[in-house]
Amino acid sequence: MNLIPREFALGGVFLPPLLVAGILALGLAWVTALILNRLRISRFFFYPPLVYVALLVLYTIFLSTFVFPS
Amino acid sequence: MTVSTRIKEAIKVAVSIVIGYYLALRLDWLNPTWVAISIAFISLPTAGQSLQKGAMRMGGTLVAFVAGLFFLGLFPQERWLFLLPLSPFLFLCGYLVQGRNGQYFWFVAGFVTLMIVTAGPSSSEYAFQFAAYRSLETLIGILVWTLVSIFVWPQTNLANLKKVAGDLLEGHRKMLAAYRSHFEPGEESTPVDGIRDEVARLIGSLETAINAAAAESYQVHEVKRSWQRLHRDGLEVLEILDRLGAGLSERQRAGLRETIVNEEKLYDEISARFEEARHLLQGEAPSRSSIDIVIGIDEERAAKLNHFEKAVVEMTRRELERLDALVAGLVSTAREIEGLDREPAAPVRPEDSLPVKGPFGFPPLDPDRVRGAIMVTLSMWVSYLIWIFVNPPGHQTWVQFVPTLALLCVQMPSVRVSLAKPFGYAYTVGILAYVFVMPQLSTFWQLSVLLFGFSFVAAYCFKTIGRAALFLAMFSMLGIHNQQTYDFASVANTFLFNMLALFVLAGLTYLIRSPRPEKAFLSLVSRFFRSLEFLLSRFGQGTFESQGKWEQWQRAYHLQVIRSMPAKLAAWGRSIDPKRYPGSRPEDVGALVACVQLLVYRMEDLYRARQAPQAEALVKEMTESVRSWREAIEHQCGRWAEQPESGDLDDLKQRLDQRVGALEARIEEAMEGLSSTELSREESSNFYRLLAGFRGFSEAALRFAGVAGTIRWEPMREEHF
Repeated sequence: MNLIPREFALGGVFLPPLLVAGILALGLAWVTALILNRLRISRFFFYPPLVYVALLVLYTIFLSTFVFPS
Repeated sequence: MTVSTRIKEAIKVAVSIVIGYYLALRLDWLNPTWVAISIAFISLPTAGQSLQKGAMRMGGTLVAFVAGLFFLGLFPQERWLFLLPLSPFLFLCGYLVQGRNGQYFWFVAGFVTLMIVTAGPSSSEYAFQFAAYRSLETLIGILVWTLVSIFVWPQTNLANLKKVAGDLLEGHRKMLAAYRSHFEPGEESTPVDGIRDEVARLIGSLETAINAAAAESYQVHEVKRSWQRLHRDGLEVLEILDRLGAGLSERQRAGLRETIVNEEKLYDEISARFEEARHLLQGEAPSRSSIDIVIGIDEERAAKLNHFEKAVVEMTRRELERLDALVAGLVSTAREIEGLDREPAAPVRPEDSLPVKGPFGFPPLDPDRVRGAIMVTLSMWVSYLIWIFVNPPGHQTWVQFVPTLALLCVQMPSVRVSLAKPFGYAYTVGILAYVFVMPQLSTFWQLSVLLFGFSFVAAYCFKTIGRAALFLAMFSMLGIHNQQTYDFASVANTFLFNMLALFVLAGLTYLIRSPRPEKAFLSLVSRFFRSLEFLLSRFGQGTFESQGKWEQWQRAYHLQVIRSMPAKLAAWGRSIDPKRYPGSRPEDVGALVACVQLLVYRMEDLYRARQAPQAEALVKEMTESVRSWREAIEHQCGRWAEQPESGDLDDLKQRLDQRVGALEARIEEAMEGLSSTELSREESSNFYRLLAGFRGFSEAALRFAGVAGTIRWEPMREEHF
């Protein structure tokens, strides 16, 4: 197992993978919310802001586990 | 070449900030930025306004000085216990920051306390030094700005005060003319809503202008009481015009316009008095004397009216007499302000007021303000937990920044501003200046050019949030100190911290209630009708004074809820996006708010009439019929609380007419049974007030039902992201 933490290097600036995953997840959750709004599916949720937070957490976990593992 | 006022103001702000930085750097103060922050946030166009805001900033800082050190001293080593006394204090600041007076004082007290308590977690000595420098630099900032605003292109409030007062009187006159135009045959009717909104706005501006002008001018300070009376009477004139406007339409429908003698003459005289008062305030010589118009009731016509119609006429007569007295008072006040009358004008007797304070003298809590205060307190807890357990970039600044923004947000809950965008742009500009410009500078004079340019652009090109964001970006990103060092990681972390903090704040606003305007609007409408339902249910149960403490408090609470509702609904209603909700156009929402305002007036009329001495024998006779009417209305209010569009208008009209008809028949019987000596003139007048209250409330309820039916409520209820 590789225990050395990996980081993103952007022009010499090192960024933690969780930060990058979080920012991307934010964008993905936003796009998902837009689509759900457009299809009027969001009316079936009890409280959409909570669903947004749930989507954000799910996307962050997914990206940091499978796409940018640290 | 003439320089515009806007450019002058921007130059004054920029010069003051440069001077502030110079003093702080020259004297090697703890954080030179604090002087500049103080200047940037108190700088208002006139010296009086700035002095007032500066005094509040200083007062708030001194309270924070004491409070911050006190909290630190209570539990210096206990990080969780330390939060316990801090929470109620921040709750108090969060509550008072949403009030009518001293908002800025409590805003500063709240956020500076947080800055002091988190300033030096490892050393109490540093905390004291921090608090002392913060107070000193705030004071110097106020001093610098005051001197600059007094000596460089000075602007006073007196001209502005007179202009606002003149515009207000003109607004009243136009409002009266607009109401009259609706009922004059052959005249094109003028829309009232826009004029009314403008008058309401001017009343708010007048209060601010009076305080600002009194702070800078002895001339205004000496007659401040007269100005305040002008403001108070102006507000009451607006209320009476609202009631008269609604009453005019009712009387027009019932064919009762001709019953009051000299009504039109009185309107002409009142319009002339508005003009006269306005001219007097502009410094013109008095041009006319008031003419006494005696209004009366045409007895011949009145004899043919039923009791409800007589009640409406009686009510209108009372309102006209009050309007007459108030407008005559406005002219006297204007003469007094201009020094034409030595003796102060006799104040117009205030309308019998209903208690809005609870039994212990405290006003009942406002649920929206409590909600805002909880949000502010929660923001401190959440940011504290983030600092302790995650410790992201920003560290202890989280505990300062997030609650500060929360304090800012709760002051304007209905204004839909996405903070991330202006702050994002402003901080990007700040980073660019820090990376590319700052390292090139070597003397204060070079730095002063950058500071001047940045401050000028912020003050000249932007307002409110944009201006605040650019100033904050300049202060936090440039990080100006005597021993200047450059560190990209630090500035990138500051940027990241700010964006994360804004994201957390956006999430926090959803914790208590959805901040979406349509949801808030629906919830407020529901609360309004619940309170109305409560007040109606207690209507037959005696006066305020005859009740126990708990009952008095409940009544005062619900009265306060309904009284504060029109302003809240108007603010949230303006924020509803008409593109997303085409079924709720701004004009429909405005009309709905006007109906809500009318319901409030009518409810107050009913309660006032009930408080007045009544012929108990007559009231007893009518108890059953009144109960039937009250239950019908109460039931409908309960339904409107659930669904504002519920209930068919015709059906409601039929039901109310039936109840009112039964009431009319009962009155007829009761009146026949009473001899003329059993009913005094006052009791008779009060009884007709009560009847006018029932009638007026029914009319207002029908009007609400009509307007509510034109709005599409279902899309507003639908959930979406």
